[in-house]
Amino acid sequence: MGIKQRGSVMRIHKVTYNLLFIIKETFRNRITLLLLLLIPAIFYFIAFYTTSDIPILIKIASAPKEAVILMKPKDLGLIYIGLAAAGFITSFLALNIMQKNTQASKRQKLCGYSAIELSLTKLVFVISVVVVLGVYTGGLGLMLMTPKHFSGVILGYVLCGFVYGSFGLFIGAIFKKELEGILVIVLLANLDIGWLQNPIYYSAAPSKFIIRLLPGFNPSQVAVISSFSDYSISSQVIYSLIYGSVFLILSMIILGIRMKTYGSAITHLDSPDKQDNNISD
Amino acid sequence: MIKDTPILTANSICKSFGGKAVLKGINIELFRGKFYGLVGENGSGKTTMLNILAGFWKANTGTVEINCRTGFCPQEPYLFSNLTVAENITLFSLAYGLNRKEYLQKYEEHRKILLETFNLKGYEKSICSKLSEGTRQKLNLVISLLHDPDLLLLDEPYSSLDWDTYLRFWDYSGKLKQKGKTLLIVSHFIYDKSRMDKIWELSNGDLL
Repeated sequence: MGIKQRGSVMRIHKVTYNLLFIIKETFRNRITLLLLLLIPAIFYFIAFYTTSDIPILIKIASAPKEAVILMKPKDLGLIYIGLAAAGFITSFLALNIMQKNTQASKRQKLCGYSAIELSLTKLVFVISVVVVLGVYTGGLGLMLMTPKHFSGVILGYVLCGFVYGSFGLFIGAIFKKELEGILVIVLLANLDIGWLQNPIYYSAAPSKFIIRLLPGFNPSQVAVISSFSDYSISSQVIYSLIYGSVFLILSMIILGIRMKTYGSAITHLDSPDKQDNNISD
Repeated sequence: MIKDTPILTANSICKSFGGKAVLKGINIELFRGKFYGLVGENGSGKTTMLNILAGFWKANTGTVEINCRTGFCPQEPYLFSNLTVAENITLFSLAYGLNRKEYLQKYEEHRKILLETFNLKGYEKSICSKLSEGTRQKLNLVISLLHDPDLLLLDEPYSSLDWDTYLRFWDYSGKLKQKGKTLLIVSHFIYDKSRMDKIWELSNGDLL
C-alpha cells in the first residue's frame, strides 16, 4: 500500500473511531435517548388532539399565486409540529456536539488529529442525526395523516433537520455557554417553524419577506407542498441546501479557528526519525 | 554533543490578557535528560507559559521550537467526560497514531505499565465524569505519557494525587530520566527540589 493510500486509510479509521465515540458519548445517557424518541411523539399527540378536522382553504407560500388548497388544520398542524420537533432536536444535538468537550477536542488536535478530521467527524454525526431523525419524525407523522407525496414530506423533514442542525452548529461555534445557545435555538424554532411558517399565520402576515428569510421557510415549504399538492419542490430543496450549507461552512471555519494549535510540538508517532522509538520501562 | 542541543527553545515569549502583561519576553532552553521546575504564585503566568510551550495557546510575540516528541499534561484534565477510561485512552492513542500495526504490540505493553504505575487498573470501564478528581488527574497524566514522549510538559501533575501515586509518579519519573527524557513541571511549590536540575521562578512576567 502506498504512503498516500495508507494515510487515507488511517484518516478514515480515525474519523470512524471518533464518530463512534461521539455517538457513544451522546447517547450513553439513556434518558437523553428516550427524550429524543419521545419528544416528537408528544408533540404529535398534542397537535393531534388539539386541532380541528374541519377543512379550510389555505394558500401555500411557494405555490402559484392563484392556488388555494383545501386542507384539514389537523394535517397542517401535524406537519408543522413534526418539523418543529425535527428542527429543534437536531439543532440541540448539533449545539451540544459543538460546545461539549471543546478543550478535550483541542487536546486531540494537539495529540495528532487534524482539524479536518475533527470537523468531518462532527459533520458526519450531524448529517446522520439529520437523516435518522428526519425519517423517524416524518415516519411518525405519516402514521397520523396521508400526504400526497410521502417521499417529499420525508425530504422536507430531513431538510429542516439539515438547516436547523447547521444552525445549531453555528450557534454552538459562536456561543461558548450552553444556556445562551439553547435559548437562541428554542426561541427561533418556536417562532419560526412553530408559528410564523404555518400558512394560517403566514398568509395574513404584513411582512412576509421576514418570514421567508427564516431558516424554516424552505424546508417547511417542501413538506407542505409535498403533503397537499403536486407543485414542484425543486427550488425550495435547492434553497434549503444553500441555506444549511452557509451555516455549515461558517461553523466549520469558526471551529477550525477555535481548534487551532500553535508551535512545533511533535506528538504523532509518524513524525520523521521517530519511527524506531524504543520503549523499555 | 547531543546533550548540548536544546530540545526546546523559547525566545522572547510575551503574552498579555486585557492589557495586563503576564509574560514579558521569556527565554527558555530545555536539554535532554534534565528535570526542570517552574514555580510562582497564583496568577503569575505558569499555566500560560506551559500552554504556550505546548502549542495550546498562542503567544502575542516570540517563538517556540521543539525538536522532539512532546507530551502535554494540562492542569485541568481535558478528557471526554461521558467516555470511560479505556475509551479515552483509545481515542488519544488513535490521535498519537499508536493503532498502527508496527506500534500496536509495543504500546499495548506500555499502556498496561502506565495503568499499573498510576493505579488505574480496574478503572478501565469507569465513566470519567464519575471518577474522583485524583483519578481523573491520573488518567490525564497517563494520556500525556501514552506515546512515550521525550519531553514532558506537566502542569501541576500531582496536585490531586494520593500519596502512593505521588511516590509512584516520582519513581516512574526517575526511570524516565534514566532514559534521557526531559521534564518541565509547573507547580505552586516544588516539594522535590532535589530531583530538579533547575528551578525557575515566574514573577511579574519575568523568569528568575
